[in-house]
Amino acid sequence: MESLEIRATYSGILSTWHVAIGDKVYRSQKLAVLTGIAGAVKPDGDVKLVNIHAPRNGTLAELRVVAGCLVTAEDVICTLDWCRHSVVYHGMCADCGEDLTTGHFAEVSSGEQRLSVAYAPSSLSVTIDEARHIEANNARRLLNEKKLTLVLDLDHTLLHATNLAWAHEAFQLSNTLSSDMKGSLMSPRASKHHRGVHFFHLPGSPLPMFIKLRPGLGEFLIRMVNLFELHIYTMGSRPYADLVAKLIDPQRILFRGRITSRDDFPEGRLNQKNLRRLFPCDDSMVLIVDDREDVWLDARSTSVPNLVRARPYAFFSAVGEVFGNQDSVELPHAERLGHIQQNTKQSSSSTSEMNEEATGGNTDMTLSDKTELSKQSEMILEAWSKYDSGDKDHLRRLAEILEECHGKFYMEVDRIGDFSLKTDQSSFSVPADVKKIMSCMRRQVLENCVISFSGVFPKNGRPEACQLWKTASSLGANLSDGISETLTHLVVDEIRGKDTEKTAAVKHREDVFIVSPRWIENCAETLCRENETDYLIFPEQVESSGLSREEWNQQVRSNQQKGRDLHSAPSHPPPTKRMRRLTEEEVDDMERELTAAIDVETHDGTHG
Amino acid sequence: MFFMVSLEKRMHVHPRFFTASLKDTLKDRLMLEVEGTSAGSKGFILKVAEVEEPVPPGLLDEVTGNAIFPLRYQALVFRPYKGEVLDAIVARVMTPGLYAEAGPMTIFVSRQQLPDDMSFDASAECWRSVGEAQQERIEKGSSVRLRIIGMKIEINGFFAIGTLDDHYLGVV
Repeated sequence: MESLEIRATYSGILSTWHVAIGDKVYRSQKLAVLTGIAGAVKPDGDVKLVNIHAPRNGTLAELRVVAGCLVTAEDVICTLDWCRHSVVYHGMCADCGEDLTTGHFAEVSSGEQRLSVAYAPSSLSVTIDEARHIEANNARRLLNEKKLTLVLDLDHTLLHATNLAWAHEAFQLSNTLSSDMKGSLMSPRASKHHRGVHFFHLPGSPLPMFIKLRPGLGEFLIRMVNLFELHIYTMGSRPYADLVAKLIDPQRILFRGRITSRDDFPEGRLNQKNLRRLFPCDDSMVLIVDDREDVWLDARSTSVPNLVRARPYAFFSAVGEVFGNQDSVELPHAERLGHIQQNTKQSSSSTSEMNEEATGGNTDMTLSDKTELSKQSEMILEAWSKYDSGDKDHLRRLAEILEECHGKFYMEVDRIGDFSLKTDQSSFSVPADVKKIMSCMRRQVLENCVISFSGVFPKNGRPEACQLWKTASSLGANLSDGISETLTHLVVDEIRGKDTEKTAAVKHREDVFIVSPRWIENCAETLCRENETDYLIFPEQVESSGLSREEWNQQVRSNQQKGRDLHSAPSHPPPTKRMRRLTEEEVDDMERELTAAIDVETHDGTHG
Repeated sequence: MFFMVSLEKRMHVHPRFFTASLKDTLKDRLMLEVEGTSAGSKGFILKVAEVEEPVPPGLLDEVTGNAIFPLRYQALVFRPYKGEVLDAIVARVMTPGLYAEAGPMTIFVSRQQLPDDMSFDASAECWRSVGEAQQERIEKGSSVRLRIIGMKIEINGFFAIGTLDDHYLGVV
């Protein structure tokens, strides 16, 4: 409750009061009448009256002046108690209970923008000040616990979900063959939940949903939960989001209901994510891990510095290539399995684990099915292990990047020192910014690299507008169109760039790497300068040199370093050169010479 | 608060029910249709106590062929009022306050309306009183006694604002 003093603003006599103590007044309601104002007689003889109006809605608390008294302009005539209405629930103020949608008390100041609270139903809305206050409290808590916030995407980032019919096969295999499975695939250290393929039924959908969790997910989450407060923001539906959360976080300790789905906000249907829905005032402590950047962009921004972009995980698409994506071949098979599944579900009363039901269903299959399965199973296993083993380091690398950013943030915080936490200070600001730290980390990846392109960008277009150019420059590289002496890398398109003039001009140089565009993309994914020898366009360069790959890489890099030193050395000596002091000996020598020269002259007899 | 109110409902009955047990059908249908719904400003109908006898005759609707019976009945309703003190169960705790449910009604208590010595503990997901005085903890599932300071009746239900900041209010 705030108190507002209302002043007379004119000197005169307060003749009448129109309100009493305790009355609820609305904005611009007439409170009192002033008469006898000095010089306020109208030409036709009427005495001018001035009405005093209430500046806002509120309750009259005190009347300081009795009717008929003389007042001056600065005198306080009454005080008004008013409520900020900072939190509104279903149109009612949560502090004073006032219904803000009816009659005179309808909130006139509609200029006051209201925001909804993160993870609260939309029936709750708060003013911007209150939102800032809530965020400040949150930030303070996180700073005390030395944590940051991490928003995770689900699909293609932490897992891959599908409802394709042949995914049944993979699911069957993950259970029947788990005994003789290659241990590395199943990540035996992770909990049972993070192994293999899981399946559940989404309410309202006829097909079952299969989920393959990304390899290394268990360890990733365990590593992150100590340093970050975890949130989920997915483009899936609300039931999907809840089911997946229960799958990867069965004890509700990781996410605790901090889940946003596409049904929660209207822009979800347009495939848009908005960080401001969760953090309306300040996002300098928030990191995002997502495989797509475009969903986070809105009309105003061109990049999202909080985002750590993950490599998309598309397990079922990879394995699907084994089957050539022929649904018609697999469907009868899967349908039969589906029927068997349903039958066992109805008959079994004790099993709740989906796994057990599937194995029950498997044994009902005929012999012919089994042999067919084993042939295809070979192919599936191969594709499966190949895809997963190629991907298993990615989550680990992401964890490293996030930990590094976290470390840098808190180093900065410690450096700044005590940022005077006052308990109710709403103008509290976070001392460091995760966006700046990430941009800095990105720029360090390809610093000292001078990159030119050949055959990559269309000739008549603007290369600066292309994604590859933007990626490379955000990684800190110097980009140029032509060849220069300081060039370190030439990015060449495998098809169109091998025979261009640029490539020919550079091919013989021993200080330039000729790599494919995949090198830049991979550097962006792992945020470290990848080994160029894995992306060479002309691998014969390494072979012809006779060195091992490592040594050749080192040689080229040191050549580049030499070139850098050469170009950075000053061409003329620096202006402030230190004066060389003359030694005693040299002074004596000079004196002797001088005297010798003078004596020679006196010998001539001209001087004395 | 709970009240016994006299209400009226116009029941539409399909001709296939025009049998000797029409009255019983009417009563069963009434209970099915009305129990658990909101009767606007009269309250939330919990149970139909009795149907007023004699049942008035029904009027036939020419278009559909259904009979319309204007039934009068006594029902037990839940009708909260502003200023009332009642017990509720906490459904959710958040930084700006907490949600408590008293039957069909959800009451929001903002953090300003909680005792000044309470603060939100995010890791334990509860509102905890800090200080040497008795350790009060409010979390999901706790029973609290609160006073309603604002109420709104809408088509889909009742919504209220409550307070815990007074004598004898708080965890029960």
